[in-house]
Amino acid sequence: MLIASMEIDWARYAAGSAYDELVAGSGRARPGASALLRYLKGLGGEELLHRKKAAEQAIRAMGITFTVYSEGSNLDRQWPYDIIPRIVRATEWTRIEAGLKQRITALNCFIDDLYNEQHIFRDRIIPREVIMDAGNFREQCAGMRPLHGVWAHICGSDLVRDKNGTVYVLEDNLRVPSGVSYMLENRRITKRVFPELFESYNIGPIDEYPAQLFDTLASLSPRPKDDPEIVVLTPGIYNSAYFEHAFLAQQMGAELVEGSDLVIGADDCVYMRTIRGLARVDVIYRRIDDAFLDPEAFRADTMLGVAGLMRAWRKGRVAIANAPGTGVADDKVVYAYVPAMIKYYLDEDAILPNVPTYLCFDAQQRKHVLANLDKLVVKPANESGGYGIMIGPAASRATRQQFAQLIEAQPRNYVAQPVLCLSTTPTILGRELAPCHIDLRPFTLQGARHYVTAGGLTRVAMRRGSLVVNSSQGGGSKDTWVIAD
Amino acid sequence: MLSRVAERLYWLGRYVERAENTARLIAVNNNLMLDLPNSAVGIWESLLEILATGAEFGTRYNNVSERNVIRWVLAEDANGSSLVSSLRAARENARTVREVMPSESWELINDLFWSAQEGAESALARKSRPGYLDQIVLKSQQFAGMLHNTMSHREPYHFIMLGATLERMDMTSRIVDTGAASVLKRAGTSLAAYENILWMNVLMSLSAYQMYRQQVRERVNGPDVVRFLLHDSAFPHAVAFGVDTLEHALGQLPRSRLPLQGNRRVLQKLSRANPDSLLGEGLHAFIDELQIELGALHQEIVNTWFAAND
Repeated sequence: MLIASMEIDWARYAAGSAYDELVAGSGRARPGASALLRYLKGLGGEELLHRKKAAEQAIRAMGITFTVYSEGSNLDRQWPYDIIPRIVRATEWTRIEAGLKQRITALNCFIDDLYNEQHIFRDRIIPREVIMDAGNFREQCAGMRPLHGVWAHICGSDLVRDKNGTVYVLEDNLRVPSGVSYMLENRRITKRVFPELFESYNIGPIDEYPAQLFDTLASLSPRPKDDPEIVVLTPGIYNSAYFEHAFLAQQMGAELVEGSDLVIGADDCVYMRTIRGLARVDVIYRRIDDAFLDPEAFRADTMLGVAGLMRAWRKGRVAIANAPGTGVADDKVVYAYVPAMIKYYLDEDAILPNVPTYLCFDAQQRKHVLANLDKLVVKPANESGGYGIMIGPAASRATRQQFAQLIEAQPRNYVAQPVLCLSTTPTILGRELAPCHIDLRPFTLQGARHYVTAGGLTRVAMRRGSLVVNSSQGGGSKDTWVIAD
Repeated sequence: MLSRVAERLYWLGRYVERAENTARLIAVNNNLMLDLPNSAVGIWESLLEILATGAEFGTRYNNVSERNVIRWVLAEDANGSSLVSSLRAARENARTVREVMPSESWELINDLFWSAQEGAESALARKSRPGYLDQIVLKSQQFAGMLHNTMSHREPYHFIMLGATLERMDMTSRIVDTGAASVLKRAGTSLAAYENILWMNVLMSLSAYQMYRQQVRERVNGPDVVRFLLHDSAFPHAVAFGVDTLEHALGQLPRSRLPLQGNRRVLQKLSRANPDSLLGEGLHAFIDELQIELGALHQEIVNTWFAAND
């Protein structure tokens, strides 16, 4: 359990039973963190709170917001950010980076195989039914071979560190992962608030992400030339990540388009409507789900998509990132098989371990899950954003019974994992210093080449003791530093 | 530049201008109410007429009282052209095109909408109304000035200017039409003595009084006011000035042949007007024709740059 200090008093900061990223059990700084801790202690509590206030003002002035739905209306909320950075050492990061590249490579091999020969079923690595029943398998994608054999061009993986210090991959977000703009903005704010620290630390830069994203997208263009037309496709202003869509478009110098701005020509090419007339589009970085992409191919009632877009994509007239159908691998049952995929496609051992996962469709594993509901976390296979999850030890008897029924009714749709004790890091809550639980979402790109952000978005549960880090549910964030050892 | 972005910029320009003109009109009617004898009727009817919203108003309110009219043109959500509705629409349009404007201008629009909405209830009372309306006009002007001085005068800027200018020409012509004429007509001869005061108010509603006095040496009279507001090529709220502004902005945009022709038709219409014979019914018929040309120009702009031509 967590022990709260009543004010900013580093001597009394107690990390509790979790692994703390900055302070070891003895109260000493972890390797790499001593200069940061010395600096923060030297500032004193009042000055630290003063800097916190300066950061909040900067966020307001820079207009960094995210949108929350509340009682039918949309509210632009200030981005919640904690000023104390999280540190990862470069030696450790090098290994994580290699693990993330390995993972996205294997996942892309899998998706490409799945929509084509399906060797992985034939060789009995994964049962066919499990995948074909997945909500996100798109038969409209069968037989497609996107450029470079890559379907998932942008992946946001959630990493967590357990009590013993091991870093696990908790999930792979392959549909429309968000958060990268906040990672970039967090760094800008931290530079304003603690400029001194950037002199004493050698911190891995992250500002090149938009340029890397642009290069990745450009490498997908069906018309290889110097200046491909790249657009960011947004559902519009009411989407919770609209800020990010606008931010990335602006940073890449790409047009931010809505479905109604695009039209498919008689030549099956994609065009956008401009004041000069129709202009051909080569690459679409889409931030809307498959189901809404094209009313001709998927949901007929979508107002967000473009009629005929799938036809254009299938004919190779336009690249879509991530490719339609990629979401099939963004499933917690598929997740459980990623280490096996890495072995199968790359003949390598997984560098980053999975969290042990029980698959409820397997009778024996289901039995174990049902007998241990009070010790496990139960997750729907196909939700994102932390919705529909049951944390066993914290759940009421009624909730556990409800989940038992859900699992019995639809075993394919549920997985269970042991409750992880997420690592903590010092965070300012109000006027106090507390160890708050965090995870880490690095962003991995794959086009003609690979790229991994140095660090990523550290998300922090801003309620004492809470394990929920999603911004839609009261989570905050921190700047993440990969520092040279 | 995306057609959708161009369209939203155009409407941003229109809505801010509409809000400013609405504030001016209410302020002047406020003033007029204090000048005219208590028996004077028609001030508030005339305001509804200028804003072309009388019929809609009638479906919701039984009597044309000051309070009802002010609520309707200032704050009513159901009235899509009310001052607060216009600023809400301006803000929504600005929100989606934030990235093409200087960030301070977005903050200003945001602030303008919120302060207009929050203060609307208090502006129903006569006491606080003038201060409220002054603020709206001032901040709208600040917005226009900020864009003029900090936004590159390229395509996005020109689309805002098209919207603002066309809206302003439209408003000026409506004010000329109904501002004085309808009050006079409704009052019959009983207000003849106040005719000059009414025309003076028309000028003041467009901040035109001083500029008019510098230009026209005679005492304020109907034909001269109409001539000034239609034909003066140096006064920004005059219709002829708007034609010049549009000519320049349209010239900077691609594929502008048809909208330019539309603007020239507005100019032709304008040059045929003879204000001496234009008072009363003649004026009304003329303004109708002018408004038709303005509407046609708007449609040319929509067809050329915004509409889906596929």
